[in-house]
Amino acid sequence: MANVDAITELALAVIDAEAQAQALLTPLTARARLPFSMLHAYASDASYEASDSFHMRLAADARAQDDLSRLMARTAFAYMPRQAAAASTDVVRRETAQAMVTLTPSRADDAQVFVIITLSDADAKAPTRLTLKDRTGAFADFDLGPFSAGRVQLLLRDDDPIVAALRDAETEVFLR
Amino acid sequence: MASSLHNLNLEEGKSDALREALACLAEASAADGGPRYTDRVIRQLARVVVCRTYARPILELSHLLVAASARDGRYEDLFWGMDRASVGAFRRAFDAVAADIGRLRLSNDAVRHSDAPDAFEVSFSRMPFLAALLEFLITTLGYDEVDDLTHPLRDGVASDGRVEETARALQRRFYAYLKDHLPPVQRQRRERHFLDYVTAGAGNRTRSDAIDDACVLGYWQAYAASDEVSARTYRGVYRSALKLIMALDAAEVRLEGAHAKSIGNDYEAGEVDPADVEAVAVALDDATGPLPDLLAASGERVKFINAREVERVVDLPLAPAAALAARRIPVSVMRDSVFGAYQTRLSAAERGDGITVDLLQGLDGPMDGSVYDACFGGFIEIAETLERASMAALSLLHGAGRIEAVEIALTLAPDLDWGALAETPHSPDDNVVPISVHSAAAQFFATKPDPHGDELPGLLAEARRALRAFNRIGFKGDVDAATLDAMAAAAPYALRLIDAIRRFVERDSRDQDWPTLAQRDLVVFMNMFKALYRADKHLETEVFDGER
Repeated sequence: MANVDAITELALAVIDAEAQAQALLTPLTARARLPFSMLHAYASDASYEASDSFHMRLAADARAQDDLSRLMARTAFAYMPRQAAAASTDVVRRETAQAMVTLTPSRADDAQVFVIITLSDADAKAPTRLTLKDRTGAFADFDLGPFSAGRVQLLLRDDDPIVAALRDAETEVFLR
Repeated sequence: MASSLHNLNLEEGKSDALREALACLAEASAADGGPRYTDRVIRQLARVVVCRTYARPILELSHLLVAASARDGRYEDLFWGMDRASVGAFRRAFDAVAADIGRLRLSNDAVRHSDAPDAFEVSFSRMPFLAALLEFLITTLGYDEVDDLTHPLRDGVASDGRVEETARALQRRFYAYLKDHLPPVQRQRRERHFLDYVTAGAGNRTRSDAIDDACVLGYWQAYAASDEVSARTYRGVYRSALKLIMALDAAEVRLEGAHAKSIGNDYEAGEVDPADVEAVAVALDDATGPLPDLLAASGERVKFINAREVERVVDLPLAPAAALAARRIPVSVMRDSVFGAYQTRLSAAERGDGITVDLLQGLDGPMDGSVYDACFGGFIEIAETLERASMAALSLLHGAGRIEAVEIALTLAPDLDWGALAETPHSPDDNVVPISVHSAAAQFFATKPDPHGDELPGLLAEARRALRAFNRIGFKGDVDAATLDAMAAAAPYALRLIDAIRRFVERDSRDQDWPTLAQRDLVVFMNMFKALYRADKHLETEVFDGER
């Protein structure tokens, strides 16, 4: 027969542990962090429509931003990280093995800019969404139109947030 | 004093990140809004963290990551490509991977990533928990760190040595994290105090045998108003007693059973094996009862039991281990159901608008010598409602050709001549009756309800009547496939709940003179409540406030 004291000690240790586990399972009043499963759903499905609440919580969660960035870098069609050294002039061209993004001023209107995305393989399954992670960690999605011969272009105002973000060397770019 | 309070706050704050991470996992949801991980899995995870018994699970997870990465190294797609982390979802996911990748080996129960005869196998039944562990590691340590640490596992052909080395690296990292975030376990004072009280009056009885109904009530009477220990509510004391019986019994089994070992020196040094703690804690888990399972399986689609009924039985010890322990203190269970529940109302009123004499005297009014019998009657009513719901579910599932209808029918009518269904025409000279499961099932579903029939046709007619008269969510109008799925999943738990309620009422509690006990307990509890709550004081305050 086992020692009575040992049985009692084990039983009490279990009760202590269960009480601590229960305390850990009592939620904090503040909203919990974004579940990784939600980040994966966003990263792996370009058509995923993230709610405003998702973006607000993401904006307040630096760890989730890093996790999402790394996850999307792995799943995206093309990932263009922030530029190694902060450029003194505006960035007008980003390039990876899969695609190239350029900013070209419109000849017709100084206040407008073409964002041109060119795929290295014109026959590749084209991305449908441009996602930008700006220097504050905020993510923004933009739908892309259909590619023609591996190329799509958007005509935007010079002060459009997409243009501003693409010019910033700190912005990470995902085509997905 | 200020210093110890400061330390306490620091200790409490220390675990905030862990609480946040567990809450994050609990929030993770499937597409239908239900939880991605079951409550049981989350509790299991919390237990592993508290007991720090994560070494073996991390090794299992490391092997699972090799298998999950076998196709293209992207383990994330397998783990999070499924909606719910369930055994079935993992089985389907690995079936698909194994179809593409020859080197994965699947059996009915497990997957392995090597052909070696002693290759490590990861059981499908463990995978929901291991998936939660992986998400927890990512949430606490960060995806980048977990991704880097597990990199050696992702070419799909990792040797056992490499898996073990990677697992050790993860374990070390998690150990360091817990060192910063898991405060030391607090000793639960009331349980120790209660056990001392029990032991002092136990005579030659030892351990859980010494805990009986008299000492639960006696302890509460002695210490409810004391500053020495927190024992104000009868419910709190009763729950401590029940928990102690379960823990002591399970600890005894653990230490005397297959894991028996010398505990001499280690025990004298005050050491308790965390693996023992976790194993015994599993036996105590009250989330394994039929009611939580029924509610989880039903979701919002089908209502076998409504909120009012849940409230009445939720505190009954119906999970297997709790039910066994409760047989030692059946009167305490009923005292809790009647007076413990009543005290909860008093406490709520005390925290809220204050206690009026009317509320405190509620015991003298609606409550009388029949309180326990009335309470038993209420439990039986709930069991009968669940039986009607199960009959209604039988009718719907039988009509839809769902195989789960067979189990319901077998449970609701065990005395039927089921052998007749399996018989096929045979010569009277044959000694052996050929039985075919397929033909039995076919005959079961081909049987039509017949109110004048006996055996199965009669049962189905009764089920159809029950369905027509049962007016709850999921049983009305056209029932869609998702509702039928929920009904089929929930019905076995409804049947277990019926069995557990009936067992408690009709077997475990029958050897008592309940009317006499009720008369005596009314006096005891009324006096205690008057002493504890002082309704007159609240009334005086109200009158004073009114005059002002």
